[in-house]
Amino acid sequence: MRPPPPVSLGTGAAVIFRMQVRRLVRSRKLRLGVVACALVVFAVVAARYASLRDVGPDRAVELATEAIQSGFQWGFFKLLVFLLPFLLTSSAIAEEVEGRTLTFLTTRPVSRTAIALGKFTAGAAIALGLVVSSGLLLHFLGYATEPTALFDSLGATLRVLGALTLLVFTYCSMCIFWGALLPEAAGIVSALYLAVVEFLAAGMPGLFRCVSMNYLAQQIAGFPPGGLMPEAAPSVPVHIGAPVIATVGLLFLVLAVITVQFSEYRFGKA
Amino acid sequence: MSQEPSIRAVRLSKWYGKITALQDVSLHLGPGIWGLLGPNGSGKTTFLRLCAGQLKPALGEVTICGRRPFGNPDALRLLGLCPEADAMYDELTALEFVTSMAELSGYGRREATERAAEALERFGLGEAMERRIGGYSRGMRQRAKLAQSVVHDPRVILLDEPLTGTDPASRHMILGEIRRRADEGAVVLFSTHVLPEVEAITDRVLLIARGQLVAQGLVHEIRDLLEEHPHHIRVYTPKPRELAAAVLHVEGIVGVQFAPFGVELMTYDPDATYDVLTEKILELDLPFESISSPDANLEALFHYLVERSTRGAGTGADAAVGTYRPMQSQLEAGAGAAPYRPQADGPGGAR
Repeated sequence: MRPPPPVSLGTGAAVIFRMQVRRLVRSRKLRLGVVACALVVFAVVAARYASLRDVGPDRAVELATEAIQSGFQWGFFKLLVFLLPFLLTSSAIAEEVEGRTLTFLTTRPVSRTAIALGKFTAGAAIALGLVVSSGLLLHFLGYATEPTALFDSLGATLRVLGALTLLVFTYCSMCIFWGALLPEAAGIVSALYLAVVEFLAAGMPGLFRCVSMNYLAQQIAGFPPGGLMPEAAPSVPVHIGAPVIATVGLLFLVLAVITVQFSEYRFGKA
Repeated sequence: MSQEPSIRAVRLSKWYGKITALQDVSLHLGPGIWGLLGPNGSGKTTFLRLCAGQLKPALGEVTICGRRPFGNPDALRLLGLCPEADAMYDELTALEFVTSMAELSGYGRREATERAAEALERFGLGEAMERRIGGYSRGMRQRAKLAQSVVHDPRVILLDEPLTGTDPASRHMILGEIRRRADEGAVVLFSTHVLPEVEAITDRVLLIARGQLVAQGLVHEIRDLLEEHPHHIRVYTPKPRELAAAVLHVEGIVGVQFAPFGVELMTYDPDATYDVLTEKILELDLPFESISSPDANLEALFHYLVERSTRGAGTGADAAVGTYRPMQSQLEAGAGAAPYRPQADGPGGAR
């Protein structure tokens, strides 16, 4: 009997995607991510309604908007957008190399590009799903008592979620790349890169902060610059920031694919 | 491109930094079951991983049915690998795992599920296939690994220590399935360091030691070699000279060596020597702590073969006794500049 032809890139990636989603859904990482999202949403909503006690109804919408924007800026841009890609993609390749299960995939007639893409897509899709659903939940819970603002502010929230989407894609690419390149130190290298280049650099003075995709995404979201010497921070328009973030994300993804394609992955032992 | 199931290696070498894992291995295996014997760390797994396209050769080449396997889907679809490591996707059920592997081999979802269920049934996991692998015993995990390696009916099956952790009933089932695949025309390369495991399934073996293929032949020839290889017996005693003097005349003993622990005897007739030793110790009332044999295993034979092949100017020419054929010297002429010409050796034989 003739063996079936080798699977196409799309089919291979789809099978790997399904496998990875199943594994993530049954793993502790996803539970941890869900708990983190719930805590952020709960904290912001609690803070928003607690602040209402000291002011009259005339300032309620203003305070709600302020609380929700702060929630997005601190809870999402400075926490969840780092945590979720890190949890769901940094070890996607690395744990298979270290756990020696990658052998099962690389001995199949499927291209290694499909393996990398399937794993990336699964992690990124779940991370994105969590960020977007948490963001929408925050919006609806935050404006629950202000029906007019609930719909008036939806555009601003969607803009924030758009910026977060780009950022999640890019951070997932970065994490999967570092995990594929240095599987034995995937977690620490990904965490260091995100902490130094993305988190700290976003608060640097002047043009330095432009190396951080996080800063560009916050500009797209319409947040005022923070960090050191915010008055000297460059203003980045959406039509420049968004393509730059997407390009950087794509670049890291291509690098990850190339790394997986050509690595032997010796599993540390001969 | 050859479509006949085969594994061919020509002057295949692989090293990791300064460590040589495999050196100048040449062979050509046709359909049937082949035992790959060697002590731990001898290069068996490296050889299998090179065959499975997991590693790139440092020198030489390996082909599966005429195709280089590394990153080559056309070659990979023809082979199945059961790796040695006890590594599995613990979050998945066996059915999900094997179905995914079948899908990655090119089957549609429905056919992949049917094939996976059939493969798992064959390996005795029919009732447990819907359970997560994380809850499996070692033997069940091993059988799930074997099921994934044959779910797509590969022409070349590479099994790295496939009987590890299995009970006698499972072994019987696994060996039966391997035989069936070989009877259908597949090449099965079965790696182990336990001679009886190979004996149970094939009489054709390759011996690998220190990264070199030292010999190939029939299992009974290995048995003969084990008998011809001087057997070492260590006697831990404070009076080694008295003991040595008492047993030196015994037929079969070819050497005596004194050591800090006592004395080491070299004999071609271990059974008779053990009998005489016991008699003499009782007769002379010699004090002793224990008697042991450091080399009652294949490892000693491998060292013996390697040493002998080294003495044979590196050709491996006297690496074997009797009809034993050292592969390296057989293939030397065909593996170099001249085109490789297999030497017919009957159907399915090594060439």
